[in-house]
Amino acid sequence: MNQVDVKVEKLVKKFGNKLAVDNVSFEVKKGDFFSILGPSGCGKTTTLRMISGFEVPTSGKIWVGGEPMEGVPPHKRKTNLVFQNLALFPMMNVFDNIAFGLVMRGESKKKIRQAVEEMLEVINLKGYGKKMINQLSGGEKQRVAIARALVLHPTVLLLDEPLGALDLKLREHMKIELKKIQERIGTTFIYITHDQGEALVMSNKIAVMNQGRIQQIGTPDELYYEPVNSFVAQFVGENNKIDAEVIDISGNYVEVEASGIRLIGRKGQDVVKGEKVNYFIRPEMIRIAKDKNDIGSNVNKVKGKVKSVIFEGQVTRYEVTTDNGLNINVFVPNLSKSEMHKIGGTIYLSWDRDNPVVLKVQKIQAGVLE
Amino acid sequence: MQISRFERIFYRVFLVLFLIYLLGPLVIVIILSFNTAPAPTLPMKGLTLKWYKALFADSMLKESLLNSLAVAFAVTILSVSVATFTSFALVRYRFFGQGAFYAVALSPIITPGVILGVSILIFLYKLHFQPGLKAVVLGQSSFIISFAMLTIMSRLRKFDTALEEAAQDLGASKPKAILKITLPYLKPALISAASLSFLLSFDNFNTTLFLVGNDRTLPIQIYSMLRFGLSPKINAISTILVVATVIIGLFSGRITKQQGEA
Amino acid sequence: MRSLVMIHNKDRLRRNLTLFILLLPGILWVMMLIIIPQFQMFLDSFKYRPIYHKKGFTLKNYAYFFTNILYIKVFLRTLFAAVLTTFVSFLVCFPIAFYIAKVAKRELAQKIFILVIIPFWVSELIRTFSWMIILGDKGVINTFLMRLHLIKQPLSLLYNSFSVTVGLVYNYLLFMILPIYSTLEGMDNSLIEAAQDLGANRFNVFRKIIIPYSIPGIMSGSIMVFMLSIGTYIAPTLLGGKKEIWFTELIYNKFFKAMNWRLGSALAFTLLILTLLFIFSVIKITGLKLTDVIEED
Ligand SMILES: Nc1ncnc2c1ncn2[C@@H]1O[C@H](COP(=O)(O)OP(=O)(O)OP(=O)(O)O)[C@@H](O)[C@H]1O
Ligand SMILES: [Mg+2]
Repeated sequence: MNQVDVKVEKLVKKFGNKLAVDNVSFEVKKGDFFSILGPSGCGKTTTLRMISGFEVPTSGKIWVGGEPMEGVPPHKRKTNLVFQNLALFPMMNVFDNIAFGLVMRGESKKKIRQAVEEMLEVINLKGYGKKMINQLSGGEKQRVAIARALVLHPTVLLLDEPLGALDLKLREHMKIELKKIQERIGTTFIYITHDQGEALVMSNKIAVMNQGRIQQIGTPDELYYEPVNSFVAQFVGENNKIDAEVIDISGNYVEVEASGIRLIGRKGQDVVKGEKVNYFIRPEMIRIAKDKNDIGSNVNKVKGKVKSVIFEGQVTRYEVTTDNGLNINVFVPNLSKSEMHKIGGTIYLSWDRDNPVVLKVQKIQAGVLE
Repeated sequence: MQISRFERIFYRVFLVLFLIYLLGPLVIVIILSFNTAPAPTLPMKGLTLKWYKALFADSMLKESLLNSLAVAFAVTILSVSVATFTSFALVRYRFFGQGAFYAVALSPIITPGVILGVSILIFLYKLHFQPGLKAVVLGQSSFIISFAMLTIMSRLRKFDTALEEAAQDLGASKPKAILKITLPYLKPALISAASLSFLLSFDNFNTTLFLVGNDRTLPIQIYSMLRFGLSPKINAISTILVVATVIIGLFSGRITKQQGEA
Repeated sequence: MRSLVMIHNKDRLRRNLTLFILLLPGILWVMMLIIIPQFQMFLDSFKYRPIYHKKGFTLKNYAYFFTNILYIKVFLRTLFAAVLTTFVSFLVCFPIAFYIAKVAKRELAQKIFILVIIPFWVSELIRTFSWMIILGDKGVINTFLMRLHLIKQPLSLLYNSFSVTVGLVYNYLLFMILPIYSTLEGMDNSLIEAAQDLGANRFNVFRKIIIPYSIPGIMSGSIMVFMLSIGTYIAPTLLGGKKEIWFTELIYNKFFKAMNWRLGSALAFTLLILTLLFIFSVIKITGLKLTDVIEED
């Protein structure tokens, strides 16, 4: 199962002077659910359109199923695309939409009927063949769009934010549905999204992209626990970002100073003494205590006051202002019904030295992070 | 919108008068086509179909009708095809001089038909091209293409090009994708462009007058009958045309509406 | 890199070739049926009549036209009648368009709409003919009035400026209704309600909100009606007096009776310029775009 289905090497795409995709390389293995995650306008769609043949790369190479794609028009590629707005054919019914690709291949009527009926079953829309597209709900359209592509048994299915147009609840449902379909069929998926939650839930490999460049490729937990740079740390999951300066480096750990207090964390990138850095600690990794003696063995400690309390069900979110002026978010899991800390009350925050990570300051275009 | 009772009465009365003004004359034309009197005047002397019979005996009329149908047919084919090509170029591409080209292409809509006729007459004369039905086809197309183009463009603009790409992605070559997806989508617009072209051509007089030479189209024939003297025969032919155009109009309206919804 | 550049060139070549093929019929149409003929007409209007065997350009045709009081009279009469037709059409059509777009309930509006459109599917010639049998000396109106003994002699309703205007308004009013209707249709009712809420009375609502909002529609309607009525040959020759000839008739006569094409071209070109002037002054005054005006219909 180690066959590489899609390989992209040093892909570049310029629109006029604008560099939409900048030196992107990655490999997708057979059966992978591979996500490309990044903020709006970072070049995700452009990358996908180059793989499916709708844009010609300015430079770089693409292989699908081991074959180079240079000069191969879209209709001859063994990739299929689920469009950002689905692009279902409104003048055809569900059956004809799904059958379209097979008809283009010149398959026999009987074979087409069989394949389409089979596919309708896979997407749980048995008996929907005669319905017109405008008679379907959002989630049903979604599934038809996927079926229309899957029925051709592509080497890889490309999905461009297919859940973007759905409301929150349906999106949650379709996330699981999609994952199930993929597991059932075993087709390789390349899935594009700007929603990190979506990517984390569905994928087994994620490429984080920003401003046309790949920032990091890894499994969801790798991205979450070991971000390689400040952008990934901020984009994937929630994080407390603290501006700091390096004071000391010893082995894999870095000691920094932030607004007068000293903090220790893992060394995520090569930094030097005196360098301005970002210190990241995830909200759920912080321990919150009323009593100074409750801190335990944690090396990082700060005193502060509760600024706001938001009860979110599984967790309670505290916004804390430390005595030296840092703002820190803390998630406390609600393991049982218990009393919450009061607004304005003095509390002590603490965390160990293995969870936080110290990363270089990265200039990120304003407005890119929502 | 809320309006007062006085206004409501005003609008009602105005509307009724307006509709009488609009439809009354045509109703009178139709009624008088069945009158036995030798001139199209009131009062009704008696009912007859003799004016309709007289039509069938009129070989000039028959010939001009055939001419008109032939011209309208040619104009429709020419206009819809040129308009379709041009619409694709204008909607799908950006090119140098596009704005100017578009403006000139639409200009015949606001150019008096007489001027189109005169200028094309002069030009064809320079090319030693004789006036006649072929010249009429060219002259009418000069502005009918513009109307057809507007109709087709407005639907093509609404077309989501992702549909064409989706078809390509599913294995259709570009020409096949256009044939299977884009043209069916355009069908209602093509039908209404075609019926509009046909009607505009069939009715055209101002441009035709200058280009027709010694041939005759139906409007030219009716015009010369009118100049010659009013006869209920004209009422009869008018009635037939009114009924035919209204049926075609309602019919094509229904078709395009149905197709447009799908 | 080299092969990539080649791919790019191939792609661009294919794109340009497709574009060229798509544009070719359109270019032929625009060149052969619009630009060259009208330019040719323009050039011809500055040439001597062939019978003089003189080469070169001359202003003689235009001089002849502008110094001939008879021609000027025809010109001004036509211009005046076209403006009058446009104005009357506006007066008649605005309330109707407003009623259909804003007052009538949806279903009623649709029915009225169809009734309004139907007459315009019928040939212009037949529509004009209907007025001949209505307005004539033995026409419907005169017969009716004489039967009622309201008049002894038939009124001369036909073959004068009155009958021409009635016919022109009748023939072209749809071109006024449609664009006004479509702008009003697009207008948000809450604009009217907001104005009323802020204390505007009926008259002021019309003057300050509804009319200004429908200006684009009124303008494109006016351009169409003006252009159609100044440029038609039907209503003026069938409904107009033998002595009160129309500008288009003059052009026709120059081409087919006097066989003076050069003077005819000068007249036709003057008509074209007049139409353009009207259109561009409307566009200048209202700041609309030409394509907006045309696409409005
Ligand atoms: N055809 C084009 N011409 C010019 N610029 C383009 C074109 N297509 C995309 N771009 C630009 O390239 C950049 C990347 O666009 P792309 O559509 O790939 O973004 P994306 O990551 O898919 O964003 P989103 O999440 O909003 O869909 C954007 O800045 C966009 O404006
Ligand atoms: Mg995108």
